[in-house]
Amino acid sequence: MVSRRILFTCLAGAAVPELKPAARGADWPQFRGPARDGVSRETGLLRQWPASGPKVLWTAPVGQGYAGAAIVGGKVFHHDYDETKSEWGVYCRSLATGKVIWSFSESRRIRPNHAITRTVPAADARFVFSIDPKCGLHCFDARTGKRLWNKDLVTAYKTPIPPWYNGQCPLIEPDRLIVATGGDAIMAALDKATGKELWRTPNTIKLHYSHASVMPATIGGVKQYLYSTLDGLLGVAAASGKLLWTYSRKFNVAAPVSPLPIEGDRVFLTGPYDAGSVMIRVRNTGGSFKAEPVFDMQANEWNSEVHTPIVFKGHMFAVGKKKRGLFTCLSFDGKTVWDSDGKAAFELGSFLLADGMFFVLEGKTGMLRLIEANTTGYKELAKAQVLSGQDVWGPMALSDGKLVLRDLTKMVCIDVRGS
Amino acid sequence: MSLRATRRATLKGISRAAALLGMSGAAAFLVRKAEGRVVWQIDTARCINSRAGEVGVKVCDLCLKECVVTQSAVRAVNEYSQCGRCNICPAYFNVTSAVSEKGVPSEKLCPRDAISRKPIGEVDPSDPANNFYEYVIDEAKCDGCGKCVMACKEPAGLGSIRLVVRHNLCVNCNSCAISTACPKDALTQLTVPESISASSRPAHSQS
Repeated sequence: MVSRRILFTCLAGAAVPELKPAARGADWPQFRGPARDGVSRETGLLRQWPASGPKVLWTAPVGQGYAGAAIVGGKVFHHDYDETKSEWGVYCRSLATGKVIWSFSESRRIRPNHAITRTVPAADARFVFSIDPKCGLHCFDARTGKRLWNKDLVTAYKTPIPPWYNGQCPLIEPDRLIVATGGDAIMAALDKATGKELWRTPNTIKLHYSHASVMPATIGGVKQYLYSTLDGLLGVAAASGKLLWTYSRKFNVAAPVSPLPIEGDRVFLTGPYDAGSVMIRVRNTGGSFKAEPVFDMQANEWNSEVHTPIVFKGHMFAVGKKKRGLFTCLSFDGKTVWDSDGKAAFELGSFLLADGMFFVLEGKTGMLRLIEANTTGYKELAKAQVLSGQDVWGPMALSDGKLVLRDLTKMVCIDVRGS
Repeated sequence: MSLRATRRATLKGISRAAALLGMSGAAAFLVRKAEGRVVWQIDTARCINSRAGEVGVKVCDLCLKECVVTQSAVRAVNEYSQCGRCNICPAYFNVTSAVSEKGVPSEKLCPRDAISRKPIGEVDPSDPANNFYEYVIDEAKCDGCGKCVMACKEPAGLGSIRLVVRHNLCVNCNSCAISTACPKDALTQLTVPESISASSRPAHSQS
C-alpha cells in the first residue's frame, strides 16, 4: 500500500532574491549553491540546445538515491551507497571527466527505504562535510579524502534517525559548520577543523527533527539561521545560537522543504502530505522577535512536496503538487501568476536558476526543460532527454558551464555553455 | 418523390438501423454471457481515487454510497508488490493528526479500522522509523469508501491500493447503480470465464 517517498532532496532558499553579476566557473559548494538560494551566478549559458541535446561529458553509475553534488574548484563531491558491500561512501570526481580522484567508504547497514542516499555534501577548499543516512556527521580533507573527524549526531544530541533517513544537508559558513540536530538540541554550530561545538540551541520545547536544511537569513537586522520542524519554523541567532523566535504551524509526516527567506523579513514554508504553505513575517522590536502569519494556504491550494522555491524578481518559482507537478510562478502573496499547465508536468523534479533561465527536470522521465525566467508566462527555450528516470528528484549542481544531475541510479554531467 | 416521402423513408431507415443495432447488441451480450460470466469491474485508470493525474481532489465515495448491496460490493485491495511498506503510511495513518510519542501520527485514516499492519523483514530497534510493515485490509470491515486509495496515490503513496468489485458480493445488476453515478465512467462490464468468476477473489489481490 502506500508509502511515501518524500525523499528529502531538500532544496531551500536564502536571502539573495536577485541574480548578481556572475562569474564564469563559479563554485556550487553546497545544497542550493553558494548562497543556498538555488541560483547560480554563471553567465554565457546556451539558450538553445542542439536537437541531440547538450553534450554529455560523462556519466557515472550510482547506488539508488537522490543525493546531488557539490562542486568546488573543478571537483565534484557526492554521496553514494554500495548495496553489494553495505558500504556508505563519499566520492570526489573530476568535473571535467568524471574520473574518481578519491573516495571514502565505511561499512554501514542501511536498508533501502525509497532509496538510500538523499543529501548533498558541503565543501570548501579544505573540507568536505557529509551527513550520512543515519545522521553521522563526517569531515574529510577535500584534497585527499582522509576523514579528519566525525560525530554521531544520534549519540551526541539524541538525534532521531528519521523515516526515509536523513535529508538534511549541512550549511557551510566561512568560519563554522551549522547543522540541525533535533533531540536535545535543535541546532549546533561546529568548528570546521575539529568538530568542536561552538554553541548549541537547547531543544527545550521538544521540536521534532525534520528532513529540512538550515538556511541563513538576515531578519530584523540580525543574522539568523532558519529551520523548519514538523511543528513549525524557528530562527536562531547566528552569533550565539540563542533561539530568537518560533512560529507554530503543523506539518505532516515530513518537512523536507527548507525555509525560504523573502524580502521584508518574511519567511515562506511549504510542505507535503496536505500541509499546504504558509508565509510569516518576523518583527524585531528592541531585540525581541515575534513571528506572525501573513497568509496560510491550506491543502489543495498550493504547495511544493519536496523542493524549496527559488526567489527571482519579486516572485517565487517552484514545482507545485497539482496536476503532477506544475512549474509555477507565485507572487509574494501566494497567488499563482503563471504555471506550466498544459505544457509540462514535472512530478517531483528539481530545478535551479542560472543566467536568466530555469533548468527544470521532469521527475519521472528525466526530460530537462530550459524555461525563461520571467514573471509573465511559461516560455520554454529548449528541452532534452538527459536522463531516463526513474525518480529524477535529486538537486542539480552547476559550475563552469557543467551541469551535474542524476536520476535514481545514474549521475550525468552535461555541457550547458557549449564552450 | 415528395419531400415528405423522403423524410418518412429516412426515419424508417433510422428506426430499422436502431433496431438492428439493438438486436445485435443484445446478441453480442448473449454471446458474451454464453462464453463466460459478465461482471462489473472498476477501471483503475479512470477511478478518480486511483488514477494518475488526479491529485488535490476530494476522495470519491460513490462506490460506498451508490451500491445497492449493504456495505457495498466494492473493496480496497493492496497490491503488495507495489507497496512501499513504509513505517508512516498515509493510507494507514491520518497524517494530519498529532504526532504521537512514537513519532508517528496518532490517528488512523480508515474510519472502520479495516487496515492492520505487522513488521516484516529485518527489524532494527536502533532505527525504528525505517522498519518495514505489511499492510492488510480486512474485507469484512472495508466498505469501499476509497479514502485509503486516495491517500496511497502518488506523490505521497505508490498507488498500490485500488478499489475492486468483489464478485461474490456483487448482485450483478444490469444497470449498476455505481456505474450510473460514477463521474468518470470507471465501472465497466467484463466477461470472465466461469472458472474464474466462481472464485471470490481475483488472483492479483492481497495474499
